[in-house]
Amino acid sequence: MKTFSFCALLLAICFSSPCATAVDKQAPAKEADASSTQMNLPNGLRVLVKGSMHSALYSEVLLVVRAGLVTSEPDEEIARVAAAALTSGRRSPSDPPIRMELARLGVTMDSTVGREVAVFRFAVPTANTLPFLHLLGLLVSRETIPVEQWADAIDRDNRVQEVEQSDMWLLSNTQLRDLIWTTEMGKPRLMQRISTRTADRKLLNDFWQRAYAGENMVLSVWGDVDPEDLSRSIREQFSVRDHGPGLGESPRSPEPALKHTGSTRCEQTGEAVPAALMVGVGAVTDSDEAFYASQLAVHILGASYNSRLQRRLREKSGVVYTVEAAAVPIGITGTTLRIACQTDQVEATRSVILAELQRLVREPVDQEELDYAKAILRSRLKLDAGSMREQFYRESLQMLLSRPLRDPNKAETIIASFTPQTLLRALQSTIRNETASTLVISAHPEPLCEVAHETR
Amino acid sequence: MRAFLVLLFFLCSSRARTPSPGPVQDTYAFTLSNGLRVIVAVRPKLQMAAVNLSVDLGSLDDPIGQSGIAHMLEHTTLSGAVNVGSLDPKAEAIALAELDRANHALEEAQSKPETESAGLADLERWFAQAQRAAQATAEDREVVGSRLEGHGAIGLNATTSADVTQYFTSIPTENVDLWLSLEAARLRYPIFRRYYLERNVVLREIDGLTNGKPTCQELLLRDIFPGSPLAQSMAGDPRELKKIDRLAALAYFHRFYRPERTVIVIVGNVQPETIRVAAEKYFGDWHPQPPVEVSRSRSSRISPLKEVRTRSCNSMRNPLVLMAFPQETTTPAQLAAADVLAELINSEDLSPVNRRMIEKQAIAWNIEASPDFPSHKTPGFFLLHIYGVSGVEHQRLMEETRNALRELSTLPDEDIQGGIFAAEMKIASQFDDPPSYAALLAANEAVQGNWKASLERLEALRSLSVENVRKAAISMFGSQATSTGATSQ
Repeated sequence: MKTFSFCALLLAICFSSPCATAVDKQAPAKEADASSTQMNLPNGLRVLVKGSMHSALYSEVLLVVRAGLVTSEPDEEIARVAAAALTSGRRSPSDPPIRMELARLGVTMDSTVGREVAVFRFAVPTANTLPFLHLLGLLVSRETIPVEQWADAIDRDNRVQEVEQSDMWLLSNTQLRDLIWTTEMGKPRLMQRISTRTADRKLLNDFWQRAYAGENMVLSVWGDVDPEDLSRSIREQFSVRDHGPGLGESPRSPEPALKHTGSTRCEQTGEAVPAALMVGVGAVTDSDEAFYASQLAVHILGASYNSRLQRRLREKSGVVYTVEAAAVPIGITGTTLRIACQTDQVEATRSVILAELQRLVREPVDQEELDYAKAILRSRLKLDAGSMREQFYRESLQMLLSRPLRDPNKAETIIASFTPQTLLRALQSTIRNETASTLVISAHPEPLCEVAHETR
Repeated sequence: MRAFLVLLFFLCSSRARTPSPGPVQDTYAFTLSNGLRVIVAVRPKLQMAAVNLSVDLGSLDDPIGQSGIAHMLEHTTLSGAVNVGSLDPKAEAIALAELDRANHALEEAQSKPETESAGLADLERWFAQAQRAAQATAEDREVVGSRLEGHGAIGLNATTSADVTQYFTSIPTENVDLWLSLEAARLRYPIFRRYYLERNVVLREIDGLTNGKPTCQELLLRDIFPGSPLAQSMAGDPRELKKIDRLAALAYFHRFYRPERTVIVIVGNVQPETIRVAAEKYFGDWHPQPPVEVSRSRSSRISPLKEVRTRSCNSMRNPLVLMAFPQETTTPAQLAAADVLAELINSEDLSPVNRRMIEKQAIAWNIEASPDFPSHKTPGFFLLHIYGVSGVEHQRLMEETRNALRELSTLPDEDIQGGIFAAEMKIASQFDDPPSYAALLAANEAVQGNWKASLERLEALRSLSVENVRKAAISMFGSQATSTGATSQ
């Protein structure tokens, strides 16, 4: 094993001088910590820039566009295709594909199209920050998208959807949600795919012009780049396109509506050994108190080593390897409490999960488990607060959306105020156990599937 | 006063080195007198510290006939310590001894075909009763995990790779001391109170992973390293694991979980001096008996092949081809070039393999390249997984892959430069994420004795030329060697 090079020297120093020098106390180099600066371009684009971050090994670029699924209603597929179009095709027939250009610059990207906004995240080698911004500026400044680029975008979007549709595990989340919530809500997935032949390019271009316009976007850039250079480059590259015709207010998509009763759905595949079991229940989280109560409930239920389900299903009865509970948001005011595990004893495991869901709204939790859940929730909030990406994303949303966002600074007061009794009351008005639903994916028919409300 | 002198001694017996410039700025390393190494990366803005304790013990160290024991230890040590989690230490010791006897009797009976079922049932009852009695003497939970979570730890988990076992979590800065104290307790005073329960969990995990069959990758390793620990299942062979009882596991633990094989890494808003004092407090007087010297099998038994070795088999319904290319040289520049080749092959937009086999010919649906396979401790392989489309013959997949690999050396400069950028970004993004950074530093130090190894790799990438990558591609994939050992599962 390699020994540390300075060890012998420091050992000698240590024996001949006060030993407080055993760890070198050289002051850490100070990172330039300028707060982000905001620029508003004439075309409405808002830009957040934070440069001179000397410890940053690469630059990050976040583009948030008010081009989510509800903005392209009634055809939310358009929003997905438009997002794919941003990096599809070629600049000109003689240029390489845009994605190849990005790859050559060493840029990695991911994007998501959510309910209200489309989000594009790019990680860029520091040296390529300005060339990348030049390229991105060209891409967002296009007035219309050429036909072949729409075709490329449609193909890519269809491939992504095919993967999602063919992966039973990915699909199971959607299926569980649809057992609990009405499908009218926000139409999370368009059932008719756009094909390159049937696509109405006028419709697509119209959406592109209205949604991918300066006033609907916030661009954030941070890294170890001179802020002046960054600002100049952005002003030059992103001011090309004028104001768009305007998207107007997003249509008010109906908020999630709970079904009256839960149901059970069973899927069979030879690969599901042991069987996958998902149990979900709807929760109405239309206030900060309800939201944080549901977060605490998830940790008490099954999101930690101390959780009730972890102890009952793993530690005591050993019927699962692990069990995981999560709070999955639906729309703005809904949440699904979802419990997932793999087990070869589906019925017994499901009974325990349902019993614990009932117990949450029947009796107060122990003070100790409440304290544990609070500790974990506080840590999660700290992690979010420390994430620069999260901060820029939040700032972007605040600029783009007209509705107020949940203020994380209020979280601590609310979390601290919960006692076992007040949490019980909050959960009683939040969790709707009558919607408890089950999804089973197994290799063989499970007995509970034979009496299920809905079996496939 | 005595305490002060003791502290003074430990301070003096610690060794330190200065922080380094560049991306690992504000990273401090020191070694306790017993050989335990501590690395502290100061990140003033973090409210949560990423902490990692790694032991230089991986599945490659598993002795022949005890495959999976390193993985088994990873599972069992989180159940607490002699002095952590016990309701009555004396009663627990007695109950666990009884449990070991019951287990021994049961296993012996199970191994004899002539054992009558009635006798077996009696022994099973004895074992179950002893298990319940032992459980009644301790807290009925995952003790270490529970205590840490009670103090805000999140993402608590452990992994066993070929080279190293890592335990990690993120914890509020003010509770790092608690984490150190619990880690010290479980390493120094292990008890494995949930051993037999956890063994069942592990057996279920292996069953879920492998469905009781060796994976294609394991079959390839058997071809390449016949008879070596490298050829054993990483997760473990269920038949062998069932024979390892609590006492055998404890003996193995004491042999390898030792201060000189242990590395602690903390990334967060902490003072290095405070951490060093705490490390001294909890680990400083850990001086276990010198281990019985056992030659480590991996270095003595492995004689790396000099040729390409290929194995084909079926993964589920589709054809799968694995191709292993020897990486005999391991200079930073050569390793960096291998990283770039892997990035180029894996890239959706730059890969000639992707273009030829997925986009043009549609004979494969995924191709994955991994450099440094299977271990950082031995001369390794550049491994390719080629996932074929159903119905395509293995031989065609191999031939087309070879043709596509040869195109790597003729790629345009911009594409190769893109691969270099991608390899840099891969390391840089790990540096940027505190838990990943902690894991990287700890693994580098435990496995290579050099926590800066990834930084050196990053530096090597930055000074790598396009021509270096071309040469590496020719050297690795340019030969006309025919595949050998191609068989179907």
